[in-house]
Amino acid sequence: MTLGAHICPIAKSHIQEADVVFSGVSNGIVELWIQEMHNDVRSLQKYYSEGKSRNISYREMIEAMLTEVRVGKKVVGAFYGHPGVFAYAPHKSIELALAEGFSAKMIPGISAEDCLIADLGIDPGQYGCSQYEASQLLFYQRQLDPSAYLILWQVGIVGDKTMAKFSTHGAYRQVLVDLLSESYPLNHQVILYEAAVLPIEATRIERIMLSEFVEAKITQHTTMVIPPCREMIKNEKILARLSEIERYLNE
Amino acid sequence: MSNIIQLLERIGQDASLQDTANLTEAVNIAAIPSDIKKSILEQNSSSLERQLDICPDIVAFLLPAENEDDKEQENEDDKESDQEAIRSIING
Repeated sequence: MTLGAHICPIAKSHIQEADVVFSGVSNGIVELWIQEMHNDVRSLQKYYSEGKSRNISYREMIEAMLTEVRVGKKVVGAFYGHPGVFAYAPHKSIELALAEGFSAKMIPGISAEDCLIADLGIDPGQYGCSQYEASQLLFYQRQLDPSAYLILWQVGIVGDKTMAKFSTHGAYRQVLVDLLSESYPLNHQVILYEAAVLPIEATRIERIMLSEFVEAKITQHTTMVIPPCREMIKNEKILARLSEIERYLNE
Repeated sequence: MSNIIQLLERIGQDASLQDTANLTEAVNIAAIPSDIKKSILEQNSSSLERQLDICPDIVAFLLPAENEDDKEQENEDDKESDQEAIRSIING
């Protein structure tokens, strides 16, 4: 996630050893950094355009990478964070390359979730953790568990069915607040989080009430973290069954 | 450019540069323009982007809310139920 800090040695080596590198990063200075590692780095930014469906952008990114694979080049796609976490084009590129008989693999990275776990001092194992793309949470019926952590990604474009917006109006955010208020009180504290991308940047950790999300400053880098609002409820039936098994095995 | 990026990389990798005094020293002796030094020491990434002539409007959304294959299936399902409705009307 953070320039310099979070690239693993093998990922850096792959970049350096590639014939061509495609970059899908979240900051122009990070692009410059990757350009220091290789002399043919092609930005995937040019495939985005406000008003253009991102599905088209992703298809174009995939095709750009596979075109080079098909002519026999060693291709690296360098994406910010973890290339497989909340990212479509990296997975699809590998899937298609393998289907066409080429070798392809993903090297894991450090995602925004990994950063927020460290920065917020939370352990997803303590109470459990669900995470969703914010718009997908609106479009589909999901069961939320307010005794676990909930992480919502891409809240900056929540509610956009067109896939062509780079931000959405407060009216869309209100829909998310209304949905979440079915499981959480409106005065429940949520966290707006942005990981530091440059090593000189401060991390954004802003605690607000759920109701304040509509008017809050949200960027494309913002992730919403919702801590549990109630304690976990014991499953007495299962616990009784487990005790029974324990007694039987100890006899 | 290279010295600036290399310094940023070093700041990201070197635990000793998380200390303000060490960072200040490293930045002050770096062979980079003084205005860039100022931006780094002030942790002003917006200023740094301007100085490096970087476009600040980078798009970073990498995931569609809906899988395209699921949407195509949804459209197929919608078409089928429309046709079913039409057949029902015709058949009375």
